[in-house]
Amino acid sequence: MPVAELKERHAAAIEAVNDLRERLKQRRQQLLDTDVAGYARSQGRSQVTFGPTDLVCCRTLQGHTGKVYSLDWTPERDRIVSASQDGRLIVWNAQTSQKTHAIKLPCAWVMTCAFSPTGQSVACGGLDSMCSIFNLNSATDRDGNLPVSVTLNGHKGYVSCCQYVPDEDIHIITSSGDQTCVLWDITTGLRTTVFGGEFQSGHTADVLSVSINGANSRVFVSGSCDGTARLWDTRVASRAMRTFQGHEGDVNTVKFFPDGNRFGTGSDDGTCRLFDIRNGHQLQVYYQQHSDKEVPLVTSIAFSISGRLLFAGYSNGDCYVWDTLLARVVLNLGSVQNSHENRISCLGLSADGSSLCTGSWDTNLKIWAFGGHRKVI
Amino acid sequence: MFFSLIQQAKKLLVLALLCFFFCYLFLQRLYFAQTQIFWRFVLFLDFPFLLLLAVSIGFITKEMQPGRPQSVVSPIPQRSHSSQAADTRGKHRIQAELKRLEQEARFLEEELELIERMEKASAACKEMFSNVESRPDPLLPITNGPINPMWDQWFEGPQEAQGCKCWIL
Repeated sequence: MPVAELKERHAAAIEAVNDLRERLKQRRQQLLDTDVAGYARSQGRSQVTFGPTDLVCCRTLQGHTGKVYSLDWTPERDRIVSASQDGRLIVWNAQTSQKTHAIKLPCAWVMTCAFSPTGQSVACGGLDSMCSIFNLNSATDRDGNLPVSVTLNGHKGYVSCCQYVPDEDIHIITSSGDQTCVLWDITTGLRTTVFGGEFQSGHTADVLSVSINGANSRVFVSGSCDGTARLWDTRVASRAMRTFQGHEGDVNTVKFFPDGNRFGTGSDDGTCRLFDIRNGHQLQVYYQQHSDKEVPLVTSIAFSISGRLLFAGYSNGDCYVWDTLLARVVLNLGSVQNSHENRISCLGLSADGSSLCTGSWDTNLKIWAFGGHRKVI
Repeated sequence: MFFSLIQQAKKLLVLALLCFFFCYLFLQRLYFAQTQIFWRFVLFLDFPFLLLLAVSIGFITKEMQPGRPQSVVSPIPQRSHSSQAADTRGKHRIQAELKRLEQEARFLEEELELIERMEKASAACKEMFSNVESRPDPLLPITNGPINPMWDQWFEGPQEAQGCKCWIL
C-alpha cells in the first residue's frame, strides 16, 4: 500500500478514535448523576473533625543523610524500610526507632523500595533500571555490606515503583520509565509478564506508580506520565482491563482503596481523584483552591484502613488529610507542631491502620498516630 | 547511510578549511607585525585565498542541498536505494501506529457497549458509604468497634530494651 494512502488511513483512524473517546466521555458524564461529596451532603453526613492533639507525631526516625524517596511497612510486625538519596536502604523498628539494617546500595540513585510479605527481604529500584532484592537474613560481606541476592534485569528505563504480590515472596511488580509494568518471578529472576510496551497496548509515557489490589492480588493499577491510570489483570498482558482518563498532568501515585473496588490517584495537576474499577466512574475529585497561581503537585497518597481518610503529600510541604466522603480537608499534617521541614515525598499506613509513616526531603521519617479521645459507636 | 557519511565528511572539510584560514590569518598578522609591512599589502595577499575559500564553500554546500540530484554527478550509486529505504522505514512505522489505533478503536467500541448497561454513579457512592462507615478505623475520633488494644501501642512506651529513642507526645 502506498505511503500516501497509509497516511490517509492513519489520519482517519486518529479521527475515529478521538470521536469514540468523546462519545465515551459524554456517555460517562450522563451516568455521573452525583459525586461522593454530593451524595454525602444529600445523606446529611457531617465531616470528620480533629482536635489539635488528635493526630500527633509519636516517632521521628533519624538516620538518613539525604532526601527520603520511598518507604514501605511490613505486613506484620512494625518494621519500615526506607530508601534515600544517600544511596542507602534503612530498615527500622518503628516502635523503638532503632535501625536494624542499613544497606548500602550498588547504585545510589534509588527511587523505590518495598518489603516482602514475610518481612525476610526488601526490594529497591531506581535509575540503574534494575530491581535489586536483599535477603535481610543473609551474612554481610567483608565490607559489612549486605549483598544483593537477586537482580531483576530487563527494564529499558528507570524503575519508578515496586511492590511485592501479597502473601508470597516470589512475585514482584515493577513500573518503569520504559512505559511498561513487569511481573517478575524472583526465584528465576525472569520476567513472567510485561504489561504494555511497543508490541502491546499500554501506557504511552513513563509509568510512575503501581498498586496491587489487596482484595484480589491478580489485579493492579498503574499511573503514568500520559495522564492516565490503567487497571491490569496479571493473567492478561495484551491490554489493560480499563483506562481511567481525567487527570490533566502526570499521575505520580496510585493507591487501592481498602475494599479493593476503588482506587485513588495523585497528579501533577494538583488533584487527587477516586475511581471505581468496576464501572470506570470518576467518583470524586479532591482539590483545594490556592490563593497563589502555583498549584502544588501531589507526590504521594495513602488511605486510612476504613477509607474515610485520604492522606496526600504535596510538593509545597503540605500533607492534607481529606475526608473522602465529604471531600474536605480536615487537617494539614504539614503545618502541625513537630512536622517535617520539607516536602513529604512518600506515605504509608501500617498494616493494622493504627499509624501513618511519612518520609520527607528533610531526611527524616515520622510516624503519626491518634492520641486523642476515641469514641466508639 | 553511506550518503549521510559523505555529507558529514563535506561539513568537516568546510570546517577544516575555515580553521586553516583563520590560523593562517593569525600567523600572518603576527609575522607582518614583527616585520612592519603595510596592511594594504597584507590584504592584497589575502584576497586570492579568500576567493578560493568562497568558491570551495559554495561548491561544497551546493552539493549538500536536497532536491537537486540532477545537477550533481553522484558518485554513490546507492543514493536512490537509501532514499527508498527511508520511505520503507516510515511506511512500517505508520502501519504499526495504524494497527495500534485500530485496536484502540475496537477497545473503545467495546467499552461503549458495556457502558450502556452500567449503573449510575450514585449506586457506586451508596455502596462506598456502607463499606467505609462499617469498618473500624484507629485514626478516626469516632469509629465503629471493635477496638483493638494494640492501636494505642505508640503511646505505651518501648517494648524492647535499651537505647530506645521513643517519644511519647
